[in-house]
Amino acid sequence: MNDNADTARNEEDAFHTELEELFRRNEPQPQPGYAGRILQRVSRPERVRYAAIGGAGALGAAVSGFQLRQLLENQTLQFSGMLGEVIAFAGPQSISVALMAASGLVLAWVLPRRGF
Amino acid sequence: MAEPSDDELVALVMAGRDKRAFGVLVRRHEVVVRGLLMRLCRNHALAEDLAQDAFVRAYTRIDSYRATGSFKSWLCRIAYTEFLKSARKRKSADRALDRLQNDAVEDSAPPADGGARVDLDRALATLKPDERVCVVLCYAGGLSHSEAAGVTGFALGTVKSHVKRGRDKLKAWFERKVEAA
Repeated sequence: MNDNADTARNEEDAFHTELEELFRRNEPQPQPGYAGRILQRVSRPERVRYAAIGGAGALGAAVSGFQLRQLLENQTLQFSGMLGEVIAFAGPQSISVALMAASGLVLAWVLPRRGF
Repeated sequence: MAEPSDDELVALVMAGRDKRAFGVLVRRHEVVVRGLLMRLCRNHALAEDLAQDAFVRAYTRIDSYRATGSFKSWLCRIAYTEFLKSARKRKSADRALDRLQNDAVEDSAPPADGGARVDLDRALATLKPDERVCVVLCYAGGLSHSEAAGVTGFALGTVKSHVKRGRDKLKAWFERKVEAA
């Protein structure tokens, strides 16, 4: 029984080694200049894509900034407490600029981490 | 002077987007990533494209690398993800994996090294998709069973049984081939 188990294990080990060798022989050859081609790709940003994303982001920011100012200027909205004090003190335009700047900072922090 | 380790090179890339350090990593792992994708796709041109995409992705996502596992297994995970994404694009992941099982011979560039590679690909085509993935990760990628489990998301025991079953099937396939010859 033990002999049979040992034989089976030896055969398995032998085939494992054989299979490793087979995969090794079938590996692709290293290509000269391969790393250089990859580095060219990572150095060459997709400018059209970036321009489109940046343009869409800028347009969205402009629209939302304008709407935000209008929202804060809207006299029908009643702000009370701390928020009301802040709006009264800073004014809607300053607040919308501050919010847009904060959004810009978040984008500047996130985008490099997403590979842009 | 000793060669810098993968983790040291990754640290250089993370610190200052050091392209030269990344180039060394690419040269070091080029064969594994291309080989892995060739065995998974069995389409030479597609595998080359996916390997390039995987390296570019690795560069852009280098900040997400945590040195808890090896850089090679992290890279293999990216390559495997690129393969799955490509498979989903073509149809769906399952149908693409079925295709791996059904296709007997590579459908793009002719084999450069004759029959051995075709034999290996034919033998691999007899495996179930999950068995094939596990066998390829462990043998072409040189990953341990636990690393392959991390790459695929399968349980460790599942990877072990897929590899064992796959290896047994490959052994039987090659034995039948010898008998027939």
